[in-house]
Amino acid sequence: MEDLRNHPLDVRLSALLDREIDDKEREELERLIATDDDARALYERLKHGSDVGRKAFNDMLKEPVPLALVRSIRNAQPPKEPSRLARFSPPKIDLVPTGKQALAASILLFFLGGGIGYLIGINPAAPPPPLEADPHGSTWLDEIAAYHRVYARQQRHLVEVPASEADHIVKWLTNSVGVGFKLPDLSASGLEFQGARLLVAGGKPVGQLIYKSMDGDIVAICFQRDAAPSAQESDRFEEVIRDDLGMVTWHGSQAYYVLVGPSAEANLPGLARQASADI
Amino acid sequence: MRQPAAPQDIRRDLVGLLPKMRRFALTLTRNAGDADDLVQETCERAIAKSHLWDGKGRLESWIYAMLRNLWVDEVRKRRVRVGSGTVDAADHSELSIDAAAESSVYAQQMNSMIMSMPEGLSSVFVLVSIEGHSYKETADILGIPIGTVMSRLSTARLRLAAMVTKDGGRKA
Repeated sequence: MEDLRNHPLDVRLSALLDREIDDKEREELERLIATDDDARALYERLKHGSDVGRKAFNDMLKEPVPLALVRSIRNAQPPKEPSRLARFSPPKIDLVPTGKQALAASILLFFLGGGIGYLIGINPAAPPPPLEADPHGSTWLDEIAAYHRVYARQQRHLVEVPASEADHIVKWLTNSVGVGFKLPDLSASGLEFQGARLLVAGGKPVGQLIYKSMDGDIVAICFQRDAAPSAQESDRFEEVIRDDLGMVTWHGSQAYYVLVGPSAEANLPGLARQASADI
Repeated sequence: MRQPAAPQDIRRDLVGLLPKMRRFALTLTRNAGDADDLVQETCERAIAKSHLWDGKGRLESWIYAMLRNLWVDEVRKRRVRVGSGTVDAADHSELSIDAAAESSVYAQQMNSMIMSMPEGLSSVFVLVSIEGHSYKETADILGIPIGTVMSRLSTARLRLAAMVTKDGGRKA
């Protein structure tokens, strides 16, 4: 703690206000305030200045933050890996093979290539491997985002089947998409169920449940049958931004889900968790 | 020096900190446009360097120090004296307001008075008296000695008290 004895009285009294002094100094200053009118008046002025400043600076927090600033942060890509420090660099290994090693590797590759050729030869009708390992990659999300932008603007035709036919929606989409579900109730978050649509994304049917906030913002839950979701991913929520839209994805036991809404809506992950628990 | 930690997504924390960051930036720049540019640059830098944030202590302290360093760089780049920030804090002229003004005008006047305070005073006041940073943390963020933090804080309080008299009326 700073030694205050050589500082002017106003600095010492200011430190008293902030409790940045030791007990001995505090007792000395409190005694001075109690007995000296000038010291007391100075202390009151410092306190008053604090009150005035606190009110003025706290009022600044009420000013709205520009939406573009929020979006630029949410759209920024965090680094994938921490930078490696030099001391963590792996030791250099001489990878140039000797003559014997090169010969052994050639023989091994010869037999390995022959084996693979044999396996392909005995099963010529096998389909080629898929080009994209994850069928729910960025293209699928882009399609969902494009649908959302179009449908969210519709006033009279926001949904294909209205909320009043809730039972029909459940049967229809369960049969069409191949995913059993319940209609999540998001009214506690200010979202009213409007109805549903059947979409096609990635060549497969997608169920879309559409909700509207009191401000008119549209939030949708989309789901597509997923043949083999991994158990590791089932509890993982991932948020991505597509310009004006925020999307939160997760895996269920038999489906892949995405909740989509305005990117300015801060609670999209919370809504996704609620939907995940209800659906 | 900070050790690298597991990378974490600090974007949500940054969004939550935006109002405070803008306020602190305003105490440095005294210009809303510059403040927003500075905040944006700071956020980009913080996200890019988020693996250096060890998750201990206050995130604000790390962010504010980065913001202040970026501003110092910016001022150097511009090679101009910025506003009254180059005037010695204790020599800046006093201001007064009309207590009879309407509340919105009053708030606007208060805002402009705060903005006209020398950089060294308002940023110290915000960090210590508003946000509760210790003198040591404030000195580290602003890159100044603790003794300077203390003297600027006292000067800031006396100037603020002089702006408005205790009964809410105009300064004598």
